[in-house]
Amino acid sequence: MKSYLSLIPAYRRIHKKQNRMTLLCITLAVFLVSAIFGMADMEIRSQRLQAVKRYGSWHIQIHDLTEADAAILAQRPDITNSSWYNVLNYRLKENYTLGGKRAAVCGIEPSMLTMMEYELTEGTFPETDSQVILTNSSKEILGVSLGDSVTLLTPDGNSLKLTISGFGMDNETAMKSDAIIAFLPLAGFQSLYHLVNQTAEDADMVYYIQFSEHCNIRRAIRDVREQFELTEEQIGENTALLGLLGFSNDSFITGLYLAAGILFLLVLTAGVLMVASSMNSNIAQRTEFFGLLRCLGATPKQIRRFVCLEALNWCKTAIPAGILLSAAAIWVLCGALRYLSSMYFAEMPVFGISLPGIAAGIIVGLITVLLAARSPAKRASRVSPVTAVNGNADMVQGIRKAANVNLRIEAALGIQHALHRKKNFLLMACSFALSIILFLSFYASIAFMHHAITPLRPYTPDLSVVSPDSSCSLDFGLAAKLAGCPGVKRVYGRAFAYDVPARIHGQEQAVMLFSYDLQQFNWAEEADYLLEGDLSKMTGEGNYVLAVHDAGEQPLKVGEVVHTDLGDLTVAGILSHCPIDGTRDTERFICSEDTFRRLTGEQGYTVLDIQLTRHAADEDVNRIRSLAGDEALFSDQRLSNQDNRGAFWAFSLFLYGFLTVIVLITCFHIVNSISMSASARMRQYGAMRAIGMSCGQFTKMLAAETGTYACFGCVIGCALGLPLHFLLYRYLVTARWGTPWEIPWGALALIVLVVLTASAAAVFRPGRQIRRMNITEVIHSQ
Amino acid sequence: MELLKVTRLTKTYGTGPTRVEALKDADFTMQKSEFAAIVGESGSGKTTLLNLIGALDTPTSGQILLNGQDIFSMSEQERTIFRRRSIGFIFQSFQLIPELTVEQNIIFPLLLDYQKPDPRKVNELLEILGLTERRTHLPSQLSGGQQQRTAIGRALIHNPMLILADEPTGNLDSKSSQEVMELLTRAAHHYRQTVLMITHNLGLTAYADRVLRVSDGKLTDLGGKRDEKLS
Ligand SMILES: Nc1ncnc2c1ncn2[C@@H]1O[C@H](COP(=O)(O)OP(=O)(O)O)[C@@H](O)[C@H]1O
Ligand SMILES: [Mg+2]
Repeated sequence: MKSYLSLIPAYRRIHKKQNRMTLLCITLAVFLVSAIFGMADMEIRSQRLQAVKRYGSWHIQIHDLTEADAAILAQRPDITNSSWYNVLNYRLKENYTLGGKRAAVCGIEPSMLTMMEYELTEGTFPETDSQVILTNSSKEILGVSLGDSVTLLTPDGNSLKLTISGFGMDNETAMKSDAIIAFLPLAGFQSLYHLVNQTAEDADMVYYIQFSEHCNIRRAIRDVREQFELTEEQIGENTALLGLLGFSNDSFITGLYLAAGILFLLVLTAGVLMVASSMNSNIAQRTEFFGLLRCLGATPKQIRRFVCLEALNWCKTAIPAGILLSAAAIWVLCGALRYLSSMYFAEMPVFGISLPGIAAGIIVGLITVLLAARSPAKRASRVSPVTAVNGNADMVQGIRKAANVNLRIEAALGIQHALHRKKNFLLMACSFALSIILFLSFYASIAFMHHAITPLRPYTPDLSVVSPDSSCSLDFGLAAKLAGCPGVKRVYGRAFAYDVPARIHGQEQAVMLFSYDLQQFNWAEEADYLLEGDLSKMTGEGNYVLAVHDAGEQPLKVGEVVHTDLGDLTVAGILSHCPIDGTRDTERFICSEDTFRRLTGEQGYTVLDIQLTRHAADEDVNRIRSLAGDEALFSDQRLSNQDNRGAFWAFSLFLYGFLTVIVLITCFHIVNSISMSASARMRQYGAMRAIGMSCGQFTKMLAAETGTYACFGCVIGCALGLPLHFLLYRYLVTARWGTPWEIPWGALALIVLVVLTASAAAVFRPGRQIRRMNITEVIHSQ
Repeated sequence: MELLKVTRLTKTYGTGPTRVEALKDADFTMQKSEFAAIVGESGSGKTTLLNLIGALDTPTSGQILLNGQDIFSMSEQERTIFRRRSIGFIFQSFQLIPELTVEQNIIFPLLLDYQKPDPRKVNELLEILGLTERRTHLPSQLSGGQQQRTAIGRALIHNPMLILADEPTGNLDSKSSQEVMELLTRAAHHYRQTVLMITHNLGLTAYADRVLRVSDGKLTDLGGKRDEKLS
């Protein structure tokens, strides 16, 4: 032995079992944090990749910037990429062709390729005005290769000969519409612009900027705005990407981050509490050992160091174990997610290693352990040397109040055991409470999931037939004919009136009115989409409408009257969901078919939705397609529904899995805490057994002790858990969908039941231990 | 009247090289109201013997009859109840329950048995033990001697057939030891209790009616008061 600290490994070898529990607790805490962080990291990473793929990696675009300003701007150190950009024929509606195929023409600088994720797969960026980069697919479509020349025809019939200097990645929209995108250097683009518009003036270009990822992008944007005195309209943001980078302006996204922060803190607290209480019992079991050390001349400071070092020693195995476990869990989960929904999780890394996750695990592990070691270390250092000699370890812990023996003795002792040490009691009650708090808080995220991705809305169709010009041109006969087709479960239609001029709260705006049939009203009722009001009015006389909730500043209220050009509409209810996604400023109103006809005079539907039976085959779908005719737009959502369903299952798996893990861990913790606190008292129990306490009485005593923790724990858990659930629910659900908070009775009952069951189970093990106990050894082991 | 009869009691711990014959073929009897002391070197097997008599441990072979009952033919539950009602323990390290007051600690065996303590008896006992002033104190507020006196009270409260004391003064200074011993003998006489006490301190055998000696697992009866012989 080199120093007294060499005792640690020696001691650890002998007290394996005691330490295993503490080790397991630390491992679990590290695992939880590392897995949560890692999973969140993976998710954000995959979302970011997806966002970058779809929208590019630029952060803001600035309109109407002068060349001079742009030059100054580009010098900023926090800007990694910037480029001028403009495009002709973005929507592919004009008649630009390249080699006979429809084409869009972009003017860019080289860095734009990076910002748009259009890496060149072949060739180089154009060096002269007459060189061009084409999308990869054009190699096949046009049958061209590097160095070939192609002819660009403008709508006015002007032609421009271009040489291909490179090929880049494909763009999804271009592929879908079988079109080609040509990238010209700025000068080439401007000369094309001059040619097309017959002017000498340059096209107005938009300036795209990508900031360094290490700067505070929000502040950088504000800086740029102030420096160049830009108006808000001049700046466009890559909202999706900024949101994922954590620089969103959207209050909902901020709420999401806040909720994630709260949940993280909760898990951290759980970890600290778990490790602390397990270390506490571990120390309590060894009071005499520390007394002995003190007896032999160790100073309190040495004891403190001993405990802390011992804790760090645990970390040596527990942290790597926790991290390895979490890496494995993350791989399994990522794999499962990719498998379940290839569309949503396409970019999920397969064997990704999350450095932030690992870092969080290590830091949290160390912090948890050091924090948790503090109080036991202090306690151990306060152990009086006398304890080692007289063996009355329990005495020094300062019991101030005697038990109330008016109750049955075992109950009285049990309750007394629970209450006599305030700190210990608080720790135990809090760990019971924490399981409830954790569960309720994470339960809010399940409500979020149900709102955010519900593929199985009752009204989700498998097929839709849509009027080509968005008028009410689909007649009732078609609906009846479709309903008669084999494989069709039901057909339901909606008629639309778009852009109806209206006055709401004294403001002129255009609203959307559409009809529901009885079935759709029933669904709204069954699925509980009605936030306020009364659906029964909808089928009667009168111009009653349902409004759809939006998070705007001045939401409509039940009973309000909206004046429209079609007539005055009375709001009879507010729905949380409808099949039409709202845009920010367009109110959506729903009325009955009769009311719609009366108001607009239109007959027929704009959209016919079809749900198929389970056994519907592809021939059935083809028959329906032909029935719908060539005129109408036909959309087949079966595949995307399936993928949505997959995403839903994936999220369910993830969240419910997580919830299960939390429940299991809290159960483990409860069982473990009780067992540890029982082991700490084993010697006293031995004396009681010697005096004649029977095993049944012991079980009752333990049950009383555990019951006391459980009762207080449940009360504290509900008192803190419900407000937290409310808060998170508001951030995650009410803020977006308006669904009001309700006490989650089911979840509450479930977790309380689980906690009580775990408590009952917790009594079992020490009970068995006592039954098998060798009384003589226990009493005389000092 | 013969209260305790120990026949050919043997206890071995462990097997193979770690095998220890802690007690070999011990035979002895005790009469009712006798006060016997067991002496012997440390490690000679005194505690082993006492634990076996107290039914805390099971022997390798042999038999113990307490008041005619074979304590090892009982089930664990029966044995616990038997121990609770018929045997009083006094430990070297007191083993009081820290959450209970002096009075509660004393009546604890009755409480375990769901009996109502007789307040007169409790008061009398507290008086004898000199703990009347301390009745509402917790063990942590007592001196070692007071704690051990409380433990003696606990061993006496339910009038057990036999009181077993394993070095009751081992953790006490000589003054407290004397006090405790005097109390123990006085109380034993007062309640006509049978006491079997292990002691290291040969001076304390003066309090005993009879002395037994254990050496190397073997028990020898030294008969009546022979402290002069021992010294
Ligand atoms: N649980 C045990 N396992 C193994 N050996 C034991 C055990 N308890 C006691 N012994 C051994 O039995 C012998 C007698 O011990 P004990 O009765 O405690 O002695 P005493 O009380 O006279 O000092 C000792 O040698 C001791 O090492
Ligand atoms: Mg001994």
